[in-house]
Amino acid sequence: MDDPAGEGADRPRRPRRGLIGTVLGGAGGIVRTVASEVASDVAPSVVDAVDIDEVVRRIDVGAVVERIDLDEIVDRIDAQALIDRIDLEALLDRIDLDRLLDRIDLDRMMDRIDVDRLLTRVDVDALMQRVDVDGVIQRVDVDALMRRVDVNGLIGRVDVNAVVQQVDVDELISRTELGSVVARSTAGVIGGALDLVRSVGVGLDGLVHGIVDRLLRRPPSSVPGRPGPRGQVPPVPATAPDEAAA
Amino acid sequence: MTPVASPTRDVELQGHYAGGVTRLAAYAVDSVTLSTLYALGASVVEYLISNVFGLSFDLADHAWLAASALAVWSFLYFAVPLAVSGRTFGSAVLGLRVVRADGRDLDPKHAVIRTLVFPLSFLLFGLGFLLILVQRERRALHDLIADTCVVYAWDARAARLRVLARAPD
Repeated sequence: MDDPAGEGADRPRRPRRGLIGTVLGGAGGIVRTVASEVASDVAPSVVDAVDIDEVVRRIDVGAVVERIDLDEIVDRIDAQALIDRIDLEALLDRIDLDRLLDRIDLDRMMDRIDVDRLLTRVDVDALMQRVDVDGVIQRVDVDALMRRVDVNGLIGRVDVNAVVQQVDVDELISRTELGSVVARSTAGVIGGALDLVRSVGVGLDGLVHGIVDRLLRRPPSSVPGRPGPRGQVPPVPATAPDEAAA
Repeated sequence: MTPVASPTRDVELQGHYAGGVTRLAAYAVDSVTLSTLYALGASVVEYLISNVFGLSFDLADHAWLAASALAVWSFLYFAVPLAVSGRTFGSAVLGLRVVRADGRDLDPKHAVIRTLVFPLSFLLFGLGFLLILVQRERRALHDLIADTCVVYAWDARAARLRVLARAPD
């Protein structure tokens, strides 16, 4: 048909349909209208009549689940977005830490800790610098500590002879009052005279015997021997032994 | 050459064989002491006999009696102190002591033997005493017979301390 106004140039042209097409289209419209009216009137009755529980009970959930591809579902979940939507503060507020800690077996947890590795990671120097040594010492009960010390056992372990060996007796006498005590405790002039006479006698003995040794061409002995067990004449020592005579 | 007087050396020589000089000096002190005490004793005896019993008695007029008394007194003077302590008065002054040859203390038996054979060392111009100089163990003839020896034995440590105490700072 002609379009005298030219309006059809802007509107999409409908495809030409024949009579059958027009009839079918009209019929389809009628059916849809009827169907929607029927559904709107009938559906509530149908729904009311349907026992949903029975329907659900008759559904094989297992078979339905088996048919669900969980992997695909999980892949379609955006985990980060899900996490971003979680309110951690609110979540933590709902956690009963006391009950949580009560359920923790500390012994088992400690058994799993490698103490050596833990200690190797500890900076002992830095740790010690933070320790108030004076404060620690002030808190130590020295009296209680000393009561626990076995003084006798401690003394028993001391080698007194070794300690005494290191004492310089000459220095001790010269720097202390011990010398004057010894001098006052012994005979005065007579004791000193006897000491001198004896010492001079020993010196003269050495002198005379040295001369005799040279005359007899014997090796000189700076120190005479001393009596020993029968049959064992002790050799003339090069240096004098430390023991005094009985 | 070592110094004549050395307290440190003296401490080290305690228990070692004594030399001839000190032994001679000890004998000299013993002789003087013995003689003095004998003379005093004889005087006391003469006085007692004269004044208590009213008799005129002079020991010098009785040579054999005097000699016997001197011998007995000499024996007692040497043997008893040696048997008790191994020292006579002279030995004690000079810091000497008589011991057995093996170092043991002198017993009364050997003290008596030593005292009895002591005069033998005077024989042949004192040849027995010369063994002190010749022998390494510094033993005289009577020492060899009696199995004894003479050693230094005095408190040299105390003597040394006294010397140190008197030493000027």
